[in-house]
Amino acid sequence: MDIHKRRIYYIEIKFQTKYILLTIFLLLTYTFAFIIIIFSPYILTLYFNFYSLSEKAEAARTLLILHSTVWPGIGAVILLFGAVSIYITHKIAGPLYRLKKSLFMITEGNLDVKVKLRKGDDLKDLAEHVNILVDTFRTFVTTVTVDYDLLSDYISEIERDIKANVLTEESGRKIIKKVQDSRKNIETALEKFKIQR
Amino acid sequence: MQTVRGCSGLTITALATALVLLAVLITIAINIYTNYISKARVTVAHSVLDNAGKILLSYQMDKGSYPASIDFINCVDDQERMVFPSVFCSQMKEEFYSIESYSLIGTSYILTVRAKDNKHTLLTLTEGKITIEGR
Repeated sequence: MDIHKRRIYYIEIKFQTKYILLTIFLLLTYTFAFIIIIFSPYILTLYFNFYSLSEKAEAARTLLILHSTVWPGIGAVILLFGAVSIYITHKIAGPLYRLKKSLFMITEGNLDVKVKLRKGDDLKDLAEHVNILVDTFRTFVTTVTVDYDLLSDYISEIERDIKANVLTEESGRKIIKKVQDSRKNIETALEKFKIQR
Repeated sequence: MQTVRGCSGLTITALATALVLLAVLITIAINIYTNYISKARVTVAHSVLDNAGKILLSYQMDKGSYPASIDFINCVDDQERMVFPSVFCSQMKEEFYSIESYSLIGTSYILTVRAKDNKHTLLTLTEGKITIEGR
């Protein structure tokens, strides 16, 4: 797998759209709450008539100063957090896409898959666990394959001895011993996996 | 068999709906906010005009009558006497959208200015009494 820098920033469309929408929602909510907290005292002073004209004028001046200074800052914060959120979702979406692809290949029977993530990517722990899982499967399949070959050899040996009429109790016991050894190996390999029967 | 249920969390539809609701709320809030910004501009103009009335009253008490005319560039009367202090004169130019007119009618005067709000609300000062257009 190539580990060069990603050029496409919108890999997992559904996942990224969801988190970008969530970020926008949170940003707008926080901005809304912030604006209410900042502006409401001055708006209330302008709203109620029991304040004197000088008090209202002072509140109006402060409101106008805030109006001209707060918005550029808020705009900059929204842009900054928007960009950061896209960057963060991309850092997660990239590995997620790679893991999904690798898991698909594993389910197709390819056990030579190794999930490699880029430097700075998230979900490295998960990728390592998937790699350990694939290693375990590979070891199991190798063990079973080796013992399958051995068992095939023993069956051929028995068939040959029966055909040649040379199968003695002693040679039979020897073959049974070898078969039991192979079965033990398979049992040990199977012990790792738990399935309900 | 043990099954692991996936937790989908918030769906895109739910988030989009929440965003639409929030957008509606923000639109209403923006409308209220812009109204109050306009109101703030009118209030500032009102306050400055109120102070102008006080200064004109002290001018009248000092000189015996209100100025016949005012040159609002330098804030002096027809005899080149200072009507408004220079700091206040600058403040008037800054806080009003425009000074429409000043006229002396008998012993009284009428000063009309426009505020800096979107509608450029007209404010009229007549001997200490201010009337605001549309209120």
